[in-house]
Amino acid sequence: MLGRYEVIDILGEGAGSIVYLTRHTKLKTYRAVKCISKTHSMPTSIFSEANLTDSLRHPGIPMIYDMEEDDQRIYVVEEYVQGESLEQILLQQESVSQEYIVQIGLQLCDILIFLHNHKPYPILYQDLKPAHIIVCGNQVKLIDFGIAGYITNQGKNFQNYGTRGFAAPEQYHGGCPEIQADIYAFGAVLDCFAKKNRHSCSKQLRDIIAKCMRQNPKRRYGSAEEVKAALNRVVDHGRKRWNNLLHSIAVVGASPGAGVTHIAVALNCYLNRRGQSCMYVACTGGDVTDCVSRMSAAKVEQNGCVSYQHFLGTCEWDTAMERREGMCIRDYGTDLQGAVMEEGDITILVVTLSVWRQEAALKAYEQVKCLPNLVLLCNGSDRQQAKKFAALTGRRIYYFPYDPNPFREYQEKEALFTRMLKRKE
Amino acid sequence: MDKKESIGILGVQSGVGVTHLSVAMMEYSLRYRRSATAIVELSGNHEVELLQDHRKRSLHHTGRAQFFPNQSCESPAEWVQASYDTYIVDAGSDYYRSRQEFMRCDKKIILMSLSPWKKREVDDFMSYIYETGKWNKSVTLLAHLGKKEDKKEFQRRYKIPIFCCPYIEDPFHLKEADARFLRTLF
Repeated sequence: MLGRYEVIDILGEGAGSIVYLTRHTKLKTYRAVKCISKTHSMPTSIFSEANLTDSLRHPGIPMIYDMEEDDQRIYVVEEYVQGESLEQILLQQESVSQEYIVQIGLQLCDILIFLHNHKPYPILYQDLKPAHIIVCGNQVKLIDFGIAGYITNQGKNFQNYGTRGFAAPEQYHGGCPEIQADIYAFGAVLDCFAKKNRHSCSKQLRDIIAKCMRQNPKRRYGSAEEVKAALNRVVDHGRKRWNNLLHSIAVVGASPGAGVTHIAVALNCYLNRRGQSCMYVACTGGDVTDCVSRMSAAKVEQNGCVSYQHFLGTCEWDTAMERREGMCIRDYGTDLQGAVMEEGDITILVVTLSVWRQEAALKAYEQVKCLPNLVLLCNGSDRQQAKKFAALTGRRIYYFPYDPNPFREYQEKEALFTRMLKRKE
Repeated sequence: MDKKESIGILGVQSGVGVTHLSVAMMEYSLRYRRSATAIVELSGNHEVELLQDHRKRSLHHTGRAQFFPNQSCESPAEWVQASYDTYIVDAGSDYYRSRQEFMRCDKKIILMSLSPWKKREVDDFMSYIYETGKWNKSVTLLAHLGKKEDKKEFQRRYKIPIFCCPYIEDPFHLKEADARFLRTLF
């Protein structure tokens, strides 16, 4: 079986099973191949999981391509899902914005709507938890349908399993769970994120989570459609209409090493986290996007776009221009002339104000001060120097805090971007 | 200080913070070690020259340091003849230009960024070092930015330890944490 596939790496191991990352020797496509030992696992349950997901076609559910067995093992060839689980994201992120929680929630609702409305029988997932939810760029995928099952006319055809902390109360008591059990788990997943964001989570969102997690299933939302409608009301209430005002943001630096790419990437991630679909474009021929594509968990899409966590970028200006919606962050490096000629809705001039860089910063400012929506951002210098520069230029200057990882969310950085962009709306 | 010492700082990428670290080390040497200190610029980027101009206008500790801007790597250097206890050599980011003087320093520090879009320069630099057999175990590698996984991957790939260079907000006004870190470099 594995002769058709070249093993690249081991993605995971469990009791009696190993998941390999493989590449088809002829098609050169990547697949995840799950090898399950017959001595450790119930073959019928594996086949039923494969049969169940084989018939499901949804962007949020990985495809099953093939299944085989020999005397000792069963092999399931699945779509390779590149990304990070919500469990990993929860561990890594210092805080999570409400917009991000809602975006994840909306996509999960779409998957649950699909499962719960499946014909001829609805499917109950039963094991919704952060470890089973993978974020690939802007796409959420649900993996591991090991204990999912149909709700048939004869009732359910599966055992009561689940994960403590996410399983609905009725699952513990041997009751007959319905789709409200998935609604409960959905609320528990959002609750994990809301706990990281207590101070800025709106009452509306907290009420939605509370209703999903009510002890009595009849008092929860009746369907995933109802949950989705409630989340959409949160979005409408909180949305800033940036798309109508801002389409492109140019970022340019006064000197090499100012941190232009770092800030452009951080801003791109910030906007995507808030549901403002945003593309990064390197305008000086750099290989930033190519470098990001080599990172583990990065995904390269068919149109050449690269996504990694919340970063979305392309090397091709044409690809970015084809996008009718959303915003574009243009990284000009130190090409001040280029930034002036292709004036963005906002131009951010990044300066470092060390003693030995101040002259260069002033010269750069003189070249771009004609731009109407110029924002000055000081990176890697002390605040006193930033204040002096502001006094010299007669302009407000923002101070970019220390940012060890542009892909991660840090409160100080998020607050800065919010202030910067709010002023320019 | 009984003996002269020279500490060379070289950057793998342009703008990685060599002069910033040089100034911080100079401040530490002056204030904490009370050592007669000179800063030598081999990079040719005139940053030390600008620093020298600033020194003339400021009353800060830098007032006690001596500056040797725009030193040539080819011809005999005046700074070699001077009588300072500690020389901080800012070798910039052009390894090919300043490698001879850099490798003569008693202590050698190489500073790099492990951001994903800067890795190619790191790979090129390390390939050059390995291919030419120029690696010297007296070199300390420091990395700005990059995730923990990036540092681990670097160490796994090149079998050389690399240490995190913390963010020093103001090299002229060192905090306690800055001083603790800089002490390890001396």
